[in-house]
Amino acid sequence: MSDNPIPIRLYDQLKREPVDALLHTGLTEDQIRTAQSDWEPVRKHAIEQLHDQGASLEALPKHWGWDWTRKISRLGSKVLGFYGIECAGQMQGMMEVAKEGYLAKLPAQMGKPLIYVRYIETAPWNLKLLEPTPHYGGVGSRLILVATELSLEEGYKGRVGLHSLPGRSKGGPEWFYENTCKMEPMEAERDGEGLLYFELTPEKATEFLKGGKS
Amino acid sequence: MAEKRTMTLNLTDDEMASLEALSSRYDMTKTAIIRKALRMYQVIDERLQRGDKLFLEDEIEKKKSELLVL
Amino acid sequence: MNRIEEDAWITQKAAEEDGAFIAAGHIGFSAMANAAAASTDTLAARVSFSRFVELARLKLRLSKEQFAVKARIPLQELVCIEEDDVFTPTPRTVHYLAQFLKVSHPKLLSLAGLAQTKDAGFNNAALKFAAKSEPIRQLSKEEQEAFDEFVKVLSDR
Repeated sequence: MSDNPIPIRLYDQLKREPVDALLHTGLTEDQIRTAQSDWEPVRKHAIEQLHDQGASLEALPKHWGWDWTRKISRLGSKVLGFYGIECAGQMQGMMEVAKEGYLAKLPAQMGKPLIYVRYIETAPWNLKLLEPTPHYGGVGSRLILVATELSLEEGYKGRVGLHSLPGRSKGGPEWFYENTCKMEPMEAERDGEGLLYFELTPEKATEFLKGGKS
Repeated sequence: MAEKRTMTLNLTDDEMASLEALSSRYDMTKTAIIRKALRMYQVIDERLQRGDKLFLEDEIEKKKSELLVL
Repeated sequence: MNRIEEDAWITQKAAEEDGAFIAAGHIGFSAMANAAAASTDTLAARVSFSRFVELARLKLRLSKEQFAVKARIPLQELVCIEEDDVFTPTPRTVHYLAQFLKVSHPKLLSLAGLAQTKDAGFNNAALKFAAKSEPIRQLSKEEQEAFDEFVKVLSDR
C-alpha cells in the first residue's frame, strides 16, 4: 500500500540543479509493474549494447534479469518495507528492506538488529554505465538515507546491512557503498552468490545523514 | 514518519528485568523492543489464523518442536 | 531539515555518485564462489526458465492450479518458479515440465540452472528469448512468436 508520498529533492544532471521529487513509503502493485515495464527494456537494451561493443560477459551488470514484479507477493508483509523515488512521473529508484531477521556482523555491533536492504536499484537512465548522460543523481544515496532513517526509527541506531552487486572500481556498486555511503565491507560475510557484504555503523550513519532528512 | 500515541505500561519486576536485559543485549530502547515484539506477534498471529503452525528447530539435533502461541 | 540543507546534501551526493551503478540484492545465481563469473548467459537462462514456464501456461490459458495439476508438479513450486527471485526448481519438477511441454529434458535442466551447457547456440537463443519476453500478463504477438521460436530450440533434441 502506498502512503502519502513525501516531497523530497533529487539532482537533475541535465538541468544541473536540485528538483522536486516524491518519496513513496510503500509501493502498490501498479507502481511496481509500471516501473518494471519502464526500466526493463532500457536496462536490457543498454546491457546488450555494451556486450555488442565488446564488453566481456564478466564485466556486464549482473542485475540484467531483475524483475521487481516478482516481489509483489511480499507487498503486504509487516516485516518488509518497499520504497520508491518518483520524479517527472517515473520511478527513479526502488528499494526493498527487511525490518526483522537480520543482525549486525561487524565485531563492534555483532548481534544487534539492523535494517537489511534486500534489493535496491536505480533506473537505468541514471547510470553512467548504461546512459552516457545520466538524468538524475543522488537517487541511490537518497534511498540509503531512507534505510538509515528507518533504522533510527526502529531503534536500530542507524545500522544498515546489504550485499552489493560486484564492482569495486570507481562508479561500481561496491565502490558506492564504501565511499559514498560510508559502509564497511566484510569479506568474511560474502553470501552464497559471492556478493560482498557491507554494514553501516551508528557513527558512520550520523556522518552519512549530515544534512539530509526525509 | 507515522504519528505515534503514548500509553503507560505496567510490568512486574521480572518483566521489567527481561525488558531491560533485551534492551541492553540488542542496544535498543525499551520502547523499540516492545514495538518489535508487537510486530513479531502480529506476524505470527496472522500465520496462525491462516492455519499455519510455528516451530522451533534445534540446529544441532535438527529436531523441530511446535511452539504453542495463544 | 530545511530545503537549503537538503539541496546541499543531494547536490553533494549526486557529485559523489557521479552516475555510479547502484544495486544490491540476489543475482539469482546460487552456489557460485565468484559472482563476477556469473555470465549474462547464465542469468538469461534463469530469466528464460521462469518466463518460459509462465508464457507456456498463459499460452495454454491455464491458471496456476490447472497447470500444476496437468503437469503433475506441486502448485507451490510452480508459484515459486514464476514469482520467486532466486528459486531453483527440483529435478523432478523439471522432468515433468519437459514431459508436459514436450521439450528437451537436458535443455530444460540447463535452463533451470540444474545443469551446465556449453552450447553457444542454445545460450544465445535463451538470451534472445529473455530479451524479448516482457513482464506482462497477456501474450503479445511478439511474445507469442518469440515463445514459439524458443520452443523449437528446446524441442530440438
